[in-house]
Amino acid sequence: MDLISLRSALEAENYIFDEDFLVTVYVALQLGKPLLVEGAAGVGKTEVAKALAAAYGVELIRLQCYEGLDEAKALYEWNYQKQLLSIQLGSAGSENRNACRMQIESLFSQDFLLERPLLKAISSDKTEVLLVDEIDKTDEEFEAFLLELLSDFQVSIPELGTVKAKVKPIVILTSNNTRQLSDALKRRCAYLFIDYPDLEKEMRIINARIKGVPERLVRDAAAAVSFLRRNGSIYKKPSIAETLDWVAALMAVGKNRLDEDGADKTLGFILKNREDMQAFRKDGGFNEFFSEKHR
Amino acid sequence: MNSFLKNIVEFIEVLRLAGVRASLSESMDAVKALQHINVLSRAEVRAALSACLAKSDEERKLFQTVFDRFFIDPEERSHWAASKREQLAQKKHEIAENAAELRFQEMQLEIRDDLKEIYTALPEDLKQSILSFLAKTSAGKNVGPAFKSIAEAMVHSRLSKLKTTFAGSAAAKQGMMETVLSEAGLIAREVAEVRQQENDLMYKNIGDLRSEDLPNVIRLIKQFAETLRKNMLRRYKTSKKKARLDFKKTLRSNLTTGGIQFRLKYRQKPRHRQKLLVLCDVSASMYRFSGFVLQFTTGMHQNTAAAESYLFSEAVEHLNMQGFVNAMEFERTVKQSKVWRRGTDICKAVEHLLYESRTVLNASTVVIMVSDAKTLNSDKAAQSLKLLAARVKRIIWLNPVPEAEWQGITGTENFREHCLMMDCSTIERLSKACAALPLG
Repeated sequence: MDLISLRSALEAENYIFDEDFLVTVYVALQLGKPLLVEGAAGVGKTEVAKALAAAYGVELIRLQCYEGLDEAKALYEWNYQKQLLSIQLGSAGSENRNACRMQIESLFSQDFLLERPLLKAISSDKTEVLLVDEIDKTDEEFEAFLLELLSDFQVSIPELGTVKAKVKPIVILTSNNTRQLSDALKRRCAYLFIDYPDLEKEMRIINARIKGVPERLVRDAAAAVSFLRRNGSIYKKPSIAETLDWVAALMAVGKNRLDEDGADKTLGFILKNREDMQAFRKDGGFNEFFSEKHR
Repeated sequence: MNSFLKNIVEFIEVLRLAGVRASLSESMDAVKALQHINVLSRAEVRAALSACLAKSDEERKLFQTVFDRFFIDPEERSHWAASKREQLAQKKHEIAENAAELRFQEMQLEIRDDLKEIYTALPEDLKQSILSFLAKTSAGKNVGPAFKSIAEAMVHSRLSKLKTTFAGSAAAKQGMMETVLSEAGLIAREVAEVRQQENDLMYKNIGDLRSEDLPNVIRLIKQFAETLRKNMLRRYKTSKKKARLDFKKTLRSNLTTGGIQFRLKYRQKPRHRQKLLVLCDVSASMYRFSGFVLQFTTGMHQNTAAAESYLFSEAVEHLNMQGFVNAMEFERTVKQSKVWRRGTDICKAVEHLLYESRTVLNASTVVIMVSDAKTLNSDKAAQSLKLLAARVKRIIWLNPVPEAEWQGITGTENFREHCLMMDCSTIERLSKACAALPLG
């Protein structure tokens, strides 16, 4: 897929992006490198993988990371119940030692293997999109384990040997930057940072994601969110996802533009902790925003 | 090597000098990436190189600044470099001339290059005080040439102190004498200066922040405190709780015996979180850092009850963070407490934790101490710190005094034997300390 086709494919998926985003994704695809996407929570990192999977018309294989994630949940596991049944069925019918040995060897074959997301992605016959979501939540051991997969697109299974990807998957890793990832992992990836959108981009996102929002409400909501993000005393800045929820909430209470009443009733959709709400209300809430707007 | 490749290699060299850690494999990726895009489009080249060479938000910002300064018309760049080179040579000459004033009995003092720069940047009255000290010492009774080394050491120590005082100010632009005069070196220096100006707040001493800086500083300190807390609370250690039988693993390990269970396998023991104990010094000597201490403490408790905090000076007070409705109420309570702006006795604080408090200290507890280490009974304090270190997993000491001044504080060396002491005199150092902390 060339740059122009990639642009069209992503646009067809209603994904709003800028030139930097497009070139970075394109370079990662051309070099066959995993793409590490960083940015604040809710800016659309996971959406990158979803949009790419849809653009390529392939399945999205998702590995959601968390503390304590291990190979058995990420890569593969043997189907123990099936192995046990197979042994018991086999031993009932055969007295031959050789046959027994062969049967035990066959227990560690593909038939008894349960593929988890990583193995599923590399053993597929066609290009798949593999999303390793919130990689920063895993332990450092798991991050080290991923290195082999990310550099050579292969994994080692002790009982089967090395499984090499038939077709390289498109790998997207996302991180909220709650801890620093290792240099070794970063070196193997192309890097994309997604920042909060500017006013114009946010308006395009609202229009693309929620149908039938009055133009005035779109403009007001995007401007109000931008106003909130500029407020230094707010710790958790509103994300794009929260902007969308807020607009939907404003529509639900019957607003076709942002006013004091609507903003006050739906503030909980955009500010998600008590301290931020208190700090914001103490600073006068949206008063400054509305007075600027009326001017 | 063609000129295109040469340009890219030079660009990567500037990036490295400016602080971006671009490896060889990343450089190769960058060159390969350019083969897939339109190299006549500045925006595409910038995005492609950035994707391969800058791997964090900070590096990305550095990259943008270097890119804007490096990829300009070559003729314009060489003119700029020539004029910069001339300016630098002039400045170096001025520094050398100024340093030549520092003489002891007509012999020039041998001073480090960075201190020569500091001397040049000093206000006239401070320069005069050093010169008059040298003049008086030179003319002293029974003072021979052998005293030169003593005078040198005195001037050295005075200038080192002044260096710390002026750290972060425009007068203390460092490294002029070491700047490489190649184009790469000059651009890297320019980038470092631009970044420092943009991030002025990051490099200011935590005790010298202005009131207009406070909202941003508060946000940054809280952000770093929360990062630190989140990382510390990750589950790194398995608990001693009795494990449950792992049926799958048991079956698997007993396959060779036809599923008859000779060997039992247990579930991996659950990991449990580290406990945080924050110990904040609010004594008189810490008064200038009180803004930092208060914000750091609230940051450590942001949306959580997983940390416990104590304030101390010559006594100790437990903080019930859940009881505070907002930051102002917290600040008011701290300032009204009996430990606010008193003398410091670290020994008492630690002994309170060891023997009197109800806080459980065990191998999962991480103690974060925020203090300048200026205390009464420093030897006894070091002993009690040793006892505490034996009871807990780790003691991390955040010291708002710059590292260069630690030597002058009695007992600091002894404390450092039992804890990991980190310089957090500026926001930038605090952020580096948070990033560099061993977590496991």
